[in-house]
Amino acid sequence: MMMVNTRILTQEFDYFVPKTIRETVELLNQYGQEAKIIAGGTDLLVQLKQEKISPSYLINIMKISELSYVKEDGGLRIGSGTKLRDVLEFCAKDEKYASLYEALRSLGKAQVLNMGTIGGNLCNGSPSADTAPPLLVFDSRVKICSDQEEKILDFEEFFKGVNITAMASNELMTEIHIPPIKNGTGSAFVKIARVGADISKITCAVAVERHRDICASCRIALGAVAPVPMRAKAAERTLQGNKVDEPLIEKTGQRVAEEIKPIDDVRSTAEYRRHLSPILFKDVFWKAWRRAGGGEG
Amino acid sequence: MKNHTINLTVNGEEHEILVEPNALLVNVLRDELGLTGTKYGCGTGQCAACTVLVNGESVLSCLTLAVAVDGADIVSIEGVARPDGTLDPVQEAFLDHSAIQCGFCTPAMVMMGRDLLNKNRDPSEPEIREHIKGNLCRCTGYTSIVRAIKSCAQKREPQTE
Amino acid sequence: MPGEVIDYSTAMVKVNEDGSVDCSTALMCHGGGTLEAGAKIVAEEMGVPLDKVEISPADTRSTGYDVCTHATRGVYCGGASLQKAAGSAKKILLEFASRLIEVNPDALKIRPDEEIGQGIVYLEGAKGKSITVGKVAKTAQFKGWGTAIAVESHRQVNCPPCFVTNFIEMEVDMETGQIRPVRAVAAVDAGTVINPDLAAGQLEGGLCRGIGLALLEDTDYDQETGELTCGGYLVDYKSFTAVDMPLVDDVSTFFAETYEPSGPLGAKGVGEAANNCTAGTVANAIYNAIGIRLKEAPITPEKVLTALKEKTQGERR
Repeated sequence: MMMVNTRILTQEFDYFVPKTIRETVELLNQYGQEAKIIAGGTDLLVQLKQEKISPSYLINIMKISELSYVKEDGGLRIGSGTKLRDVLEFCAKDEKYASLYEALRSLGKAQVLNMGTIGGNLCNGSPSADTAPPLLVFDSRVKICSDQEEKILDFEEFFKGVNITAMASNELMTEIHIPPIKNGTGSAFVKIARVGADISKITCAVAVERHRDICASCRIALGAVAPVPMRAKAAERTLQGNKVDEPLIEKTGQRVAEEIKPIDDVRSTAEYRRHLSPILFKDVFWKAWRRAGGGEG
Repeated sequence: MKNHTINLTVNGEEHEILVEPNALLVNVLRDELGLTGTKYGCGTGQCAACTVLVNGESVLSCLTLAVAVDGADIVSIEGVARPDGTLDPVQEAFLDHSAIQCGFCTPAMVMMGRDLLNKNRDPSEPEIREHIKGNLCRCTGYTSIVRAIKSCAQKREPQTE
Repeated sequence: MPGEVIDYSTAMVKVNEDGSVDCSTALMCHGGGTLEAGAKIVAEEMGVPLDKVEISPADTRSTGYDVCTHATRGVYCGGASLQKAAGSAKKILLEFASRLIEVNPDALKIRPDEEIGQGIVYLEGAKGKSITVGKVAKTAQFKGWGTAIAVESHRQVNCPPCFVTNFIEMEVDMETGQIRPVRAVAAVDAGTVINPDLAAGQLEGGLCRGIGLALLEDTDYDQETGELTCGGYLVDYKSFTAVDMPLVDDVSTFFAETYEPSGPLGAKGVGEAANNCTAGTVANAIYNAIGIRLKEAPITPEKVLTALKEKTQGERR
């Protein structure tokens, strides 16, 4: 029997369910700009309903088992099609992934974590992608495939602009790789939003390597305060190699506020984000610092 | 558009349906199968009134294409009570605590309550609130709903997994 | 006439041969227990057990006119018309009963008997002068006397307001401007409260909606086209979620035990009043916390921080 379709989605498209990466990149090659990848659909279907996009082809990647995995193998490797829930459960078991764990926990409601994928959170190129700051502070890499080649990018190179990534229309993100995290490293993440389940106003992730009271190395990343999720490198330089105390962290926070490029949008204002960034940074830093020292500090 | 034949098991019953690719799961449930307990609220993933279980996990059916759940095992609110009509403890609790006012959020709230208790038999109040944070209610202020779910902690065995 | 509104409710009540009572009303229940309240009022008026009273499924072909279930009038007006109809049906029933047990109908009463599961018509203090409601109705049926049934269109004489009070404790983070409700109390003077659980639920819901209104909700319109800038989607129209409200133990509700003489069983009702004063309470609490009056909703962390900054700069001058 043919279902009577109430046509809430006005767009008409053909639908594919490839079983392998190869099949997928061949489809992408064939249809390119007219095709969209659909994973969990929590972003894509909203865009369809708001009539922001009109793809002629949808390619569902959720049946590709070679895209869904979380494994420790020279660091942590996560298939781009892995559900957020599965990544969360894995990271919950090991405090060294704390920043990513906290980002996933605050990402959204349970239903979204069950549907959405880590690749889906990133491939829209949204500056407020919650998993981006933790991946930045872990110096992550992404693997991107086309039917011609497979290349590995530093995660920093992945975001190019608001809703623009380094991927071409015939490319597919296949893996996220977090290189091995050194002992004595602690990380944390905090998100500020309007309500309990919402897109971020501002997020901050920090990873620090600690030798007693010296900050041996650090990474500071923020989301929703620039056209792309960003590293606050001047702030990192202020902190790196120095003895950690309140005045230094205060100063680093000020650097963070100077480096970010926030705008006014529907969720918040540039002024607010700039004001909040050092406060947020301090909170996140001390959490990460305590974790790096094994709880004391 | 090329149509697809999908096979769904919904509340234990098998269905074979021919659908267009742009059909939503919520409409298959409501319009095709007559299971109107699942609600179409905001349509944009904000209210979660469309929550159902797909292969045991809670999902938003208004943001799910019907074709994407081909082969899946789906439980809607109509499948929460026992076949003989005995209510699930969560449903009983909602009645006992007057946690139903207009009733629009109720099917999804009950599903999320059931989902939580399947995973955690003795959730704390913050854990309950965290689990239902995506489900909007405009009538109750969540107080009676949280009381109802809390009262089910460590009660008798759940009916649905 | 200017100022006049149509406001009356029509109800039908009948007694069945098994002692049960059916009511027909155009009142709607949108979750406030309006029909449950109507059944309770009829049960109380008739003197029959509550589980013997049913509200029939209704549509406008089979019911008399009721202007609307709105404006906190469901129990006060609609319930009053049910009470009146129940009273009239009861009068007919007692007249039938008086023929059977030979007592002046004005001396007869009805009380619910949970064991027998029926109302019992009786004469106070006299043994042997009692008969079940069902027996009266059944006898009336085969003696051809008729059905104990009445229809009343009733317009209430007053429009007594209910009064709602809120006490809310708000916490303001002076660094981030974030605001959260810590504890909240809502109290209402609704006369006799007929559905205590649902009245409490209405107050709790009012707190949630009202605090959300004060802190989050904003409809932004395009000045030229009049269209909502959000396009009508809920994506950026935020409302409180379960994690934003205080914990169960930190929310309390109270009823002022008053009695409205013109209301059915002394009832008034509580509706929209539950969230009328909440936003103001929130603003007052914020003033109490940080000494600044923020008069424009939503009171966002952005506005709080700007206000704090201005205050500090003002104090420095």
